[in-house]
Amino acid sequence: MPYKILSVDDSLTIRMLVKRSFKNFDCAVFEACNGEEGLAAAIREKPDLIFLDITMPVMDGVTMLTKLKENPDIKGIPVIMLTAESGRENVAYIAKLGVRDYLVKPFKDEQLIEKASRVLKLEPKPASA
Amino acid sequence: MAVFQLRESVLRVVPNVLETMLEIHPSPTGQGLPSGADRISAIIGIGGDEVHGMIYVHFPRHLGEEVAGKLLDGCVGAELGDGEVNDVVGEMCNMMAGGLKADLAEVGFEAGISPPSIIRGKGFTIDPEPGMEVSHFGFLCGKHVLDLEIHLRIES
Repeated sequence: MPYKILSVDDSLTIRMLVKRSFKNFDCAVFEACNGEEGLAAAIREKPDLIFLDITMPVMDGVTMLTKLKENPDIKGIPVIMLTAESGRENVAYIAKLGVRDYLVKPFKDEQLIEKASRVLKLEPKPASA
Repeated sequence: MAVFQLRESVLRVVPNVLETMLEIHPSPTGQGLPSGADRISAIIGIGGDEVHGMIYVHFPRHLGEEVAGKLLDGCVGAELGDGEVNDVVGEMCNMMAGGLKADLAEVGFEAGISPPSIIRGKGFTIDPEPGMEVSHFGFLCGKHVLDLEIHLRIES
């Protein structure tokens, strides 16, 4: 059963980079372009890991994270913030909401994989029959 | 309260973004983009209690297309249309704005940033709001010049 990873970011670029990073692993990457869609996808897909941006239209990442933690069905899903928002106060505030990890943009593919590997036991994609 | 060193911040942030994401090693240059250059510009607003401004990152069109092609190389289903190029340019601006925002916060100026918007074209100029200090920083990226234009007002 492949892992499910949800990438929530308003940038198509970032969602594509997340997909590329995991294309050689036994993972299915789902996408959402704002917090509202991300929350719906989290409820529908029950992903094993969420990469979450902060600054997004419609619903930002902090609001989505807060709502996710209020929902008993999905509050246990590990969330890694993937955001250009750094700064000590910002990180400290978000850490209190219960994120598993924090990766500040800019980033390399290997950093995404390394952060995900702390949560998931990533395996190479099986060779197709 | 410490003083925000804009030049030092820009000289740290811009190379960090381009080197990490693209393995491009930009050199600071006194040159800017020639007026009339065909460009793709990303714009992000920054605002807080004591800091207000706009961050413009002007990519010559060819550099924007090169950067987008390089960044999205190997991405499944990546077709390089104007929308994809705009998104890459916007995301580069977002990362640069995030770095500047973090440096502002380090010296006590908390602020938020907006999602990026894109303007394409040539021969346009941007007039600053009254009271804004305008700074330009050129970076040579291969044969192209990337121009970072910052309009900033800090009240302290």
